[in-house]
Amino acid sequence: MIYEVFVKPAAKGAEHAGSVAAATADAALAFAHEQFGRRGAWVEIWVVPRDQITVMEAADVPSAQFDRSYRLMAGYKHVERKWREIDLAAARREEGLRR
Amino acid sequence: MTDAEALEAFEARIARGEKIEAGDWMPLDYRQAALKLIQMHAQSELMGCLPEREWIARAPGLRRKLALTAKVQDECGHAQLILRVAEDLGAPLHRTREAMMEDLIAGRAKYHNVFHYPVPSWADVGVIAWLVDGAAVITQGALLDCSYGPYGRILERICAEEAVHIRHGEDIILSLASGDAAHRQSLQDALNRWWRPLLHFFGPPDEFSHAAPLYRYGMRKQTNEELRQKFLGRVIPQIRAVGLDLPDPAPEWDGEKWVYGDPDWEQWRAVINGKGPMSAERLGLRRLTWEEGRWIREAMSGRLAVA
Repeated sequence: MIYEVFVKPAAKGAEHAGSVAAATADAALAFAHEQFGRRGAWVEIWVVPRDQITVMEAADVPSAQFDRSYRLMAGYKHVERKWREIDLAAARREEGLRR
Repeated sequence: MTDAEALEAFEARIARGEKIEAGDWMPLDYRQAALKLIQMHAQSELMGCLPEREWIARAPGLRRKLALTAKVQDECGHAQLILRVAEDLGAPLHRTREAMMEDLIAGRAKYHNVFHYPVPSWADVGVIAWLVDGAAVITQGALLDCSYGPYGRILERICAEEAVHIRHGEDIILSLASGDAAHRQSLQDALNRWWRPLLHFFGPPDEFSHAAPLYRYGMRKQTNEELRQKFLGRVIPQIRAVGLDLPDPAPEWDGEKWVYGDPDWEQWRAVINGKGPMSAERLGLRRLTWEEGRWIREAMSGRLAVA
């Protein structure tokens, strides 16, 4: 069976690291430890049978195809331009002088 | 291991900068204080959907409607992310999500003062996204490095989304600021309305003692006043740059800090205890959706149980 392997570093969430082929979950953990846990500060290793993972693909989600730039920082470049035009820097400098 | 040894080991982990995870041993006062903070944040996100939601249908133009809808959707999503963290933290105390929601709709749980106020104009919508989200991102940014790992991790995503909300707010207010005299007046009026609630947002300067476990265990690292000063330092130059007047009494820099007068903390206390101008109406709406959505929650949990 194929197991997908996730490694959890100390302060972060588990990240996908790769996969191993093993007969049991215990064996998968042993292999995963050998291959993905030899170095680096990990606190947990997770193995999940590949066939237990349910997948959604962006290509199958219609809304993912639309222009959704209003959800992204990149959709607001004109706001940065406007701030430059009204010269926020000058206002900050003025505050600096007041201090 | 005795309790004293366990506590010592726990404190040593925090001192080393390690993160506490959901299944880890933790002292009761840590669990309680962290849960209280996290639950308040979740419920503030949930109640924070309501004021702006009132303006989706009235937002000028399709792009503004989409942006405002996306913001409300994000806030609702934040509530779900944070409630999931709260649920794990509350489980050993038998504090379920259901119980937390029941507390909210019964008026027993607190949420941020700013969501107890009305939103009378489109300019208010802009000021909320610009300055209320601006205040929230300062509070939440200060918690990114908190000792509870699951909360810190979801805050990264939340703060990134808040940054887009702030841009959306700046977009609205900069348009109004470059409009005619009536536009600029509506913006000034909205700023004047929100100024005191924004000063209140961070909480009283001396509210330290009851939050002591949060500081002792590395959940919070900056005081209410430090966060408020950071906020003022960031937004006052922006307010001046867009040509707005600072509301009375205008904050003044005394060489070390912003002096902003007495914002009447009794008023803040009354508002967060459910005596704000919109408290009853908003909670009523939340109660209604909780009741009307019951069959959906039951159907979903039934389907999950079958699957």
